[in-house]
Amino acid sequence: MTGLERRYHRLMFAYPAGYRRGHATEMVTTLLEMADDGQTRPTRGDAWDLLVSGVRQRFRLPSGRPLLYVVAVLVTLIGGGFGAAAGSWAATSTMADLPSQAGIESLTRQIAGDGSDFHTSRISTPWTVTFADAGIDAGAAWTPDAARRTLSADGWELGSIQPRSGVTSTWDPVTGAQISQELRGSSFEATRDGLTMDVTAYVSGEHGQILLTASPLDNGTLLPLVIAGAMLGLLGGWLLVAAGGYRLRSSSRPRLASALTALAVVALAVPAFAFWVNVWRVAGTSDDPIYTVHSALSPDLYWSYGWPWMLVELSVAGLLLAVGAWFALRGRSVPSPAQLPA
Amino acid sequence: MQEPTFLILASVADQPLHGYAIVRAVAELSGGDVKLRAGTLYGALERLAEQGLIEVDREEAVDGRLRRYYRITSSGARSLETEIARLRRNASAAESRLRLSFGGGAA
Repeated sequence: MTGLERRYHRLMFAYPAGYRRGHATEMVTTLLEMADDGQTRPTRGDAWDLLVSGVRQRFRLPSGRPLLYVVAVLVTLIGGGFGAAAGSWAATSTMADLPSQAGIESLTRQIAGDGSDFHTSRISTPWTVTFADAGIDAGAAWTPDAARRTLSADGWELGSIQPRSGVTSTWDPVTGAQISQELRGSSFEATRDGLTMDVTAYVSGEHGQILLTASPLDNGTLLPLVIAGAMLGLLGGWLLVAAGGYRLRSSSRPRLASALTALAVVALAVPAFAFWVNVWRVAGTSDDPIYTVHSALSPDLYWSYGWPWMLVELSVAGLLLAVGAWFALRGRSVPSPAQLPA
Repeated sequence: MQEPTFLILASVADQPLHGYAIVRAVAELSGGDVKLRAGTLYGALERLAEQGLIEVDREEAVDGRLRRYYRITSSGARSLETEIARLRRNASAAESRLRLSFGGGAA
């Protein structure tokens, strides 16, 4: 094999593997016949033409199959949804971890100046990062100033104090009459090491209660990675259908492959739709706790008419069906023209 | 139908040709105006074969290298005839208008 022939074969890698198997040898023959005497390298024009034509071939869908265009659009959107979810997951994995339960308790007691009846829970939703809620009873003498001093000393950056007020009702234990009591309250935000805390306290009569919500802060990676993941997913979805479309032509089980593909698309369309709704939330708001895309796969109900784990189950089922469809697309062995006698 | 596609189809209208022969035939048919590169040629051949307008006639090995010959199908011949008629009609219409404007100077 001459150097020129080897270089032409190298350029053929721009084309998809199936196309190379069928056409590379023939195309290189033509290129060599078109080459000038003594030429040792492909011309810049030929190299560019092969690269562009190869990439275009990767995106081409087989002619005469209009339904394939519908499948391509659906799979492209599904790929984009899952890509956005992957980007969202990657972004949140770079964010600060929530403190442990003991850590949350320690923070809450520090803010309350000890307190009693501590309770906490971690809350995961199908739309947001997981965050922690905590509450503790404190005395009526609690004020935010002491809490803010200790937090500041520990390196927390503090937002301004926002007054809170309201009215609460209780029952007189002797007369049984309803008594209204004025609530005095305040709230402030504290941030440190990629975490944010909303501290809210209410005091009425002899009783005070402090509520705390802790969640990771967006470190600026979420939206870029969601967009990048969506773009890669969209691209991958189209390329997958383009490759599958050509495999379908030589598949020994085209009906099975088509049926499995249709089922996979139906199963994956539901979680993909949820992912795209979450993308819209991520793009449209910056509220705490931060919205994410992949959280649609949390075990909680995404829609009230679904069931817990529904989107996870559909994703797994859809991916298994898609893998099955890909194997069913494996074709009959086509004789390769690569090795011919001299 | 795009011009390169029309010329490729026309080049194999009378006899099966392999890739390089098609490139030369297209250049000849177009008076040297259209010089096909291999990537463009085989992209067009793939589309024409998918549409059933051409098909592989035979394969040959020359110096250990593959040559594949393509021939026009009956469907391809019909498409080519239709395209020729369309181009002829358009050319005639254009020529008539030109004559009206310049009094027959463009004959």
